Amino acid sequence: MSLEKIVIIGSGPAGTRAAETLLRQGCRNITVISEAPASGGQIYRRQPQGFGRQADEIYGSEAEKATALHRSFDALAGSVDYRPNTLVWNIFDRKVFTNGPDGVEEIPFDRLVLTTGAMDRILPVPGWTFPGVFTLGGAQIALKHQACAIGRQVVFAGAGPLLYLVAWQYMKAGAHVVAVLDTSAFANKMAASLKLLALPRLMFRGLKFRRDLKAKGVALHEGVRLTRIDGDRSVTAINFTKSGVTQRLACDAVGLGFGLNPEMQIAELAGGRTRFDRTFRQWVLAHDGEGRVAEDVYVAGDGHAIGGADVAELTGERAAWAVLADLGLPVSAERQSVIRRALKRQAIFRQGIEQSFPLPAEWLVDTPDETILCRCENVTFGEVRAAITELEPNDVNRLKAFARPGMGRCQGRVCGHVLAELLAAETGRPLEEVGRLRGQAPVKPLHYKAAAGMAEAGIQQWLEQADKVLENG
Amino acid sequence: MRLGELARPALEIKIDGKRFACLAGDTVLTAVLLAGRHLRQSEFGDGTRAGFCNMGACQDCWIYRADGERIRACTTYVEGGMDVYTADPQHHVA
Amino acid sequence: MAEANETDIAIIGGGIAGVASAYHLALAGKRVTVLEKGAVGAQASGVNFGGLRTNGRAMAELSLSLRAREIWRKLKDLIGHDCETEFTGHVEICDREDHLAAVEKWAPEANAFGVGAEMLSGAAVARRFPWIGRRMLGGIYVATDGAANPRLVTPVFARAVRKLGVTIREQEPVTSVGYHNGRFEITTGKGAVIRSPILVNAAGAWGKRIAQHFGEDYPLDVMAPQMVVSEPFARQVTATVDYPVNGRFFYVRQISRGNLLFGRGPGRADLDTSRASYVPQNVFDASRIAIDILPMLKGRTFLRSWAGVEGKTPDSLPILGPSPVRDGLIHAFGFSGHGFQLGPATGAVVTDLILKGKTATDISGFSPRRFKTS
Ligand SMILES: Cc1cc2nc3c(=O)[nH]c(=O)nc-3n(C[C@H](O)[C@H](O)[C@H](O)COP(=O)(O)OP(=O)(O)OC[C@H]3O[C@@H](n4cnc5c(N)ncnc54)[C@H](O)[C@@H]3O)c2cc1C
Ligand SMILES: Cc1cc2nc3c(=O)[nH]c(=O)nc-3n(C[C@H](O)[C@H](O)[C@H](O)COP(=O)(O)OP(=O)(O)OC[C@H]3O[C@@H](n4cnc5c(N)ncnc54)[C@H](O)[C@@H]3O)c2cc1C
Ligand code: FES
Repeated sequence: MSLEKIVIIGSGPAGTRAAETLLRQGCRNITVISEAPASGGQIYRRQPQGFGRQADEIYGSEAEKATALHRSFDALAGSVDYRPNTLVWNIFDRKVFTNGPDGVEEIPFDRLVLTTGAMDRILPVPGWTFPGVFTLGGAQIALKHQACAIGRQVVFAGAGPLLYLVAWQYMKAGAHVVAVLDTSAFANKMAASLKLLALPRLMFRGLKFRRDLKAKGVALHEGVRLTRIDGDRSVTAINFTKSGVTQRLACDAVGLGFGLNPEMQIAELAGGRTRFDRTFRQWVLAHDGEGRVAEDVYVAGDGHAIGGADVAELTGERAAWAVLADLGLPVSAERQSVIRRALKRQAIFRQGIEQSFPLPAEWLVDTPDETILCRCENVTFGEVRAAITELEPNDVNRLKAFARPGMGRCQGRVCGHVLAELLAAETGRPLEEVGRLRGQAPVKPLHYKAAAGMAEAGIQQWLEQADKVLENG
Repeated sequence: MRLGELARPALEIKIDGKRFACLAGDTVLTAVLLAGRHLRQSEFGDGTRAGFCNMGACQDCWIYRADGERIRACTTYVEGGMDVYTADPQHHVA
Repeated sequence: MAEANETDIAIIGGGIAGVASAYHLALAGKRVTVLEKGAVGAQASGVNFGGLRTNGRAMAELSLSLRAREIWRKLKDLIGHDCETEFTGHVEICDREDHLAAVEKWAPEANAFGVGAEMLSGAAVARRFPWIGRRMLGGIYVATDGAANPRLVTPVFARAVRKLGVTIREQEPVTSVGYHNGRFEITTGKGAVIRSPILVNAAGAWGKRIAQHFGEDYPLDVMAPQMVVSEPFARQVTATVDYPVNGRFFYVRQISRGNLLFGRGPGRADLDTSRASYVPQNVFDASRIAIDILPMLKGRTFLRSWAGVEGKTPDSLPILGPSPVRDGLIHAFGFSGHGFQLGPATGAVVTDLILKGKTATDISGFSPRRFKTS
C-alpha cells in the first residue's frame, strides 16, 4: 500500500487505466482531475445527462470498449479524489494549480501522471476562420455530445483516419455529407498498406468507411489541394484542385483536420523533456520508454505522442506500472511485457497512418499573404513573413514575440506548429531547428476573479484600510 | 442542425436580449449557433466567428453573460433563463 | 582554432543598454562589436512592461531619464520604426496620506528638472480616469510619459545598428575577459577572441560576473519583475497607472490592441539558466488589486504571466560609469527594474564617456565607486 499523493490529470482512456491500475495495486491517495464533466476522454466522450442514445449509436464498432472504459472509471471514481470540471492551468513548486467549481486551488503532489490528450492539427486554408468551419474533432463532438451536425451540407477535408471516420459517423446519423476531400494521394496509402496490416481490424474498418460512403453517393476525392473556403458571414463553398483541375463545392460547413497534436503544455510546465519526431513531423514528450518524463512525472496517451485510444489505454497502464516500480511496490512483469508487445504492433500501424496521411506542409509557402495564420490575434501569413525577413528571428518563440502569432487565448495550440513550418520553410532550415512555442501558464484563460480568490489576507487588509482612510478624508 | 435527441426538456435563454428555445444538455455554443449562424465578432475586425474546436482548446468561442462575465460557449451548458451576449454588454452600456 | 578579431569598442550584452550604446558609437563612426550570449533583446529588455515613465523616478535618475525621453520621442526617425511608442501619460495614485505627502514633496523638485508633473486631487483623479474604480486621495500625473513594445525595441535597434556597420554576434557568450598590452581580450563560447582597447559591460543582471573578471565585486542581486496580460478588449485604460500596495507597486496599462498588462513581483530568476519564472501567488495578489482598481476586469480573463531576469543594486540605481580599477572599461548595468526607459540615453552617456571622457548628463548617483568592490 502507498499513501503517496498521486495526481492524475485527464480522465480519458489513458487516465482511466492509470488510475485503475494504481488503485488496484494499493495506492490509496489518488486524485484525478479533468476539465471534462465526465470520464471517457475525447474518443469515448459521454453525452450530457438526459440524452437517450445507446452506446452503439454513439460509438459504433467501439461501443464495447467505450462502455468498458466508462464502467472502469465509474467503479474507481468513489475511491479516488475525483475532480471533474476542473482545469489544471499550471504546475509550480510541486503543486498543481486548478480552477474548478470551487475556484482556484493548489494541490501538492508526490507524483504526477499526465494524460492530457490531443487536439486537431490544422493547416490554415484561406477562409478557415469563417463560421461553419470546425475542426474534424469538433465536428465529431457536435455529433457525439450534442446530437447535432455542423451544417446541412457538410464537407470533410484534410488528412488522417478521422476524416473518413467522422464522415461515416455523420452519414450514419443522417447528416448530408457532400464530400470527403483527402489531401493525401491513394498511392501514399498503398505504400503504407503493409504497415497498416499490423492491425488488420483497424485497416479493414477504414476500408469499410470508404465503401459505405461511396455507396451513399458521398464524393471521395484523394490527392487534393485545398485552395480556399468561400464565405460571406459563414461558409458557402470550398475550392480545391485535383490533378491541376480546380473544383468548387457548395456547402455550409467544413470539418477540417490533419491528424492530431499532443497537448503538452502541462507536461512542459512540470519539467517534461520534449523531442522532435521526424515520422510524425511534430514534437512529442521524451520519456524513458515507460512514461517517465521528468522527476516524479509520468506521461501517457495522446498527450505524450499520438497513438489513438488503444495506445492510450496501454500507455496509461504502463505509466502506472512505472509509478508503482518507483514507489517500490510490486509490478507485474507479465503485464508490462504484454503492453510492450502490443505497443510495438501499434507503433508500426501508426507509422503506416503517418505515411498514408502526410501533412501537406509544403502548401504553406504558397499560402496567400492575406490568409490568417493566428486566429486568436488575427495575424496574417504576410505579417509573419514580414517579421521573418525584417527581424530574422532564430526560433518560433522569437517570431511570436515579433509578430504576435501564438500570443492569444489559445496559447498557440492551434497555430504553433504552422508557425514553425512556415519559419522553417521560409528560411530553408530543418523544422526541428526552429523550435516550438514554449508552454506558458495559465494554459487556458483564467478569470481574474478566480485568481483573486487566492490573494493573501494582507492585500484585502490594505484595500479595506484604504477605504477607511478615504471615508475619513 | 439537430439530428435527434429531441426528447430533452425545453429551456428558454436570451441571446443578445432576444428569447430562444433550446434543450437541456445543449452547450451555449450549440444553442447560439442553432439560433443564428455565428457566435461573436473577432476583436480585430476580421469578421464573425463561430467557435472552431468545440472542445475547449482553441478558445475561439468566448462570449459574455449579461453582467459582462466571459464564458466559453462550447464547454458551458445552457440553463433556463440564461442571458448571454455575443458582444461586450459593458461596452454597449458605456 | 581561436579566430582573432580587432575592434574599436567591444560591448558585452545585447540588451537595450548595449545595443543603444552601439548605436550612438556607430553614428560617431566607431567600429563596434556587440557580444550577446542569446538573442538581442531577449532578456529584461525584451520581456518588460514597456513603461516609459519619468514620473516617480529617483532624483538621481532624472537627468538621464529626461534625456531618454527626448530620444524616445524621435525613435521612428532614429531607427525607422516607432515600435508602438505612444505618450498617453502616467499617473501614480495615492490612497494613503504618507504616500501623498511623499509625492507632493517629489513634484516640485522633479519639475525643477523639467519633468512636468501635475498634482491631482482625488476628484481630479476620478474625473480624468473614470475607469479607476476606487476613490483616491490624490495623484501625480505626467502627460508626456508613455510606453513602447519592448519585444520590438531592442531587435529593431539592432537592425538599425547593423545597417550602421556594427557587428552583433548573437548566441555567443563571453566566457572570459582579460587585459593584455593595453587591450581587452574577450573570449567567447564559440572560441573566438575579440581584442579592443575599450570594453562596455552592459551585461544586465550578469554585469556582476563580467566585472568580477577585473577583481571588482559589485553588490548586485537578482530580481524578477512579473507580468500578467489579459485577453483583448475595447480600450478604456488610457494612461499607465502606478499604485503601491503593501510596499510594492502594482502597475498597469492597456495596449492599443486591447490587451491589458499589469505587473507586480517578485518572480524567481536564475542567472545560470537565464530564465525567470513567475510565482502564482503574485498573480493572485495582483488580480485582487486589479479587479479593485479596474472593475472592468471583474468578468474578464487573463492569458499569460511571465517574469524577467534583472539585476538589482542596494540603492536601486544603476552602475553606470568608468571602472575604478581598469581604464577603458565602462560599466552600464544593474538597472534595478526600471532601465528600459533609460536605455537609449544610457547608450548616449556611454558614448559621451568613451568619446569625450565626460558627459553633460548628471550620472553622479550611478558611480561604480559608491560601492566597495574588493
Ligand atoms: C476531438 C477528438 C475526437 C477524437 N475522436 C476519435 C475517434 O473517434 N476515434 C479515435 O480512435 N480517436 C479519436 N481521437 C483521438 C483520441 O485523442 C484518442 O483516441 C483518445 O481519446 C486518447 O485518449 P487520452 O486518454 O490520451 O486522451 P483524451 O481522451 O483526450 O483525454 C484527455 C483528458 O484530459 C483532460 N485534460 C486535458 N488537459 C487538461 C488540463 N489542463 N486540465 C484538466 N484536464 C485536462 C481532458 O479534458 C480529457 O478528459 C479524437 C481526438 C480528438 C481531439
Ligand atoms: C518584467 C519586467 C518589467 C519591467 N518593466 C520596466 C518598465 O516598465 N520600464 C522600465 O524602464 N524598465 C522596466 N524593466 C527593467 C528593464 O527591462 C531593464 O532595466 C532593462 O531592460 C535592462 O537592460 P540591459 O540592457 O541592462 O539588460 P538586459 O536586457 O538583461 O541585457 C543584458 C544582456 O546581456 C547578455 N549577457 C549577459 N552575460 C553575457 C555574457 N557573458 N556574454 C554575452 N552576453 C551576455 C544577456 O543575455 C542580455 O541579453 C522591467 C524589467 C522586467 C524584467
Ligand atoms: S470552440 Fe474551441 S474552445 Fe470553444
